[in-house]
Amino acid sequence: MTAPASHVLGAHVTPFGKLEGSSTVSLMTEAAQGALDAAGLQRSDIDGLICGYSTALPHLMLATVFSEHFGLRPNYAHAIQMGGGTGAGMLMLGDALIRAGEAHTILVVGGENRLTGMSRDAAVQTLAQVGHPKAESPLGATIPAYYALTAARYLHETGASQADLAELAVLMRRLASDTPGAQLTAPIAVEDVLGSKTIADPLKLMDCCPISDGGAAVILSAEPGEGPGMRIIGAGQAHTHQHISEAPDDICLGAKLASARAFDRAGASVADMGYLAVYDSFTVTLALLLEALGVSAPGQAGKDAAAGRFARMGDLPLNTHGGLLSYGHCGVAGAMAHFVEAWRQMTGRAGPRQIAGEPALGLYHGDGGVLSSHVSLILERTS
Amino acid sequence: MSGIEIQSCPACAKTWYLPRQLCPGCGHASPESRQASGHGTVWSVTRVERAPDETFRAIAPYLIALVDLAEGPRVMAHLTAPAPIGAQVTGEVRDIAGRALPVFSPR
Repeated sequence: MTAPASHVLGAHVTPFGKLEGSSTVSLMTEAAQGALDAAGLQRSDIDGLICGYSTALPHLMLATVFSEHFGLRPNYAHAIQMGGGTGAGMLMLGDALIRAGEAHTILVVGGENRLTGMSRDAAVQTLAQVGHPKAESPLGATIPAYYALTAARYLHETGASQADLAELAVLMRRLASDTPGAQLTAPIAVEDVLGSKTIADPLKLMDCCPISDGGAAVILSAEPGEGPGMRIIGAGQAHTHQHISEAPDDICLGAKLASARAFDRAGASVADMGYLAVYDSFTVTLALLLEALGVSAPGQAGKDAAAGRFARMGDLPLNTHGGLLSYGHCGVAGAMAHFVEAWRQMTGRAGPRQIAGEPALGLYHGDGGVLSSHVSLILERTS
Repeated sequence: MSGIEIQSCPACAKTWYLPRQLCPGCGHASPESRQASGHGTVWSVTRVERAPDETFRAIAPYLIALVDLAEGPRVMAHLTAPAPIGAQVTGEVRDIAGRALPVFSPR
């Protein structure tokens, strides 16, 4: 008998962007129905539900709010909060619950009308809660400012340039340009990124992901489905700090620790990976993570992107839907979109955007806070 | 005195900035508070151009740094003038935008 594992039966991501009239619950519904349809399942097949949070709909019990609305009667349901790491954390929890036998078929769903549901100032201020309420946020610091501090340090330590970081934004835009549903699709060049408005030096507007409305859902099951499939064979977390003021000098240490745990359980290494799905809230987030995960040498992530390594037809395709930087970022579902895309690419479901290789293994990594909370998952194609 | 409060542990000598009622290292329940000298080194720095609200839009752009105090802890602070990573700075708690905040200047 093989060890219990969680298989991805279906997944769906809605278009991201300005979706007038949408709500947290409507976007979760659209995503969940899409995932059920992709899996060929009914709502009655779901016995477990995992949700995240919505800054546009703060609620004590979001999972039950959604469960009631969507007509589910799960045996297990709740929400979790890990900032940007929530999507990855939800999927890791779903995997653990299935392997433990607590549920058989779990719906993992997120959605939020972050763009149309709140003002830009309100969104910026809500997200700034990631900072310390006495020692950081009152200084007029914002999430982009926290990441700008990591970026300035990254450029100082590695000798990489702002143009190197810009290459990652250019790559995500190129990938989004032919992805249905992507928020930002107009092609950009490095000069456009460098010439865009400064948000918090050295980060420019185009180094930052947009704020979006959107939803995403994944169905995990103890049994594989029909046809090409994907399962989770390794998972790991690490939490090194909450506030950047207390981050380790090796600021992305958590990604090293989390991925080491995930690789260890999977019996694999980064060299075995054929597809990458990596959180990219800012260009520097992606650079730091790619380097901490061992994909790129220190200071080389942008140069690797410029050389075509991460292109759709490159050696190691990365965030082929366009990532947070161009497909868009609506919170929990923003990071889940990377997983949905990984499933599509690794199981041959990406249509005209299908990558050339048939990778057996992929790496999904999310981070929350200011590189505070990390979750790595190792994905394996089956059949 | 700088007015910048730091804490240290009488048992294990760990020193930190974000206020707590126990030592995050050894768990000792009675940490001591004292004021930092105000001498430090810039660990990282950014110039914020997109401020979060009206209060800070009025003074934007402004410099925010992470400063490593001579005593050890890392402190987020405003800078009065540009200073690169590694620069020596001196600071104290001062009024910025109507709030008492740590503010450093190049030495």
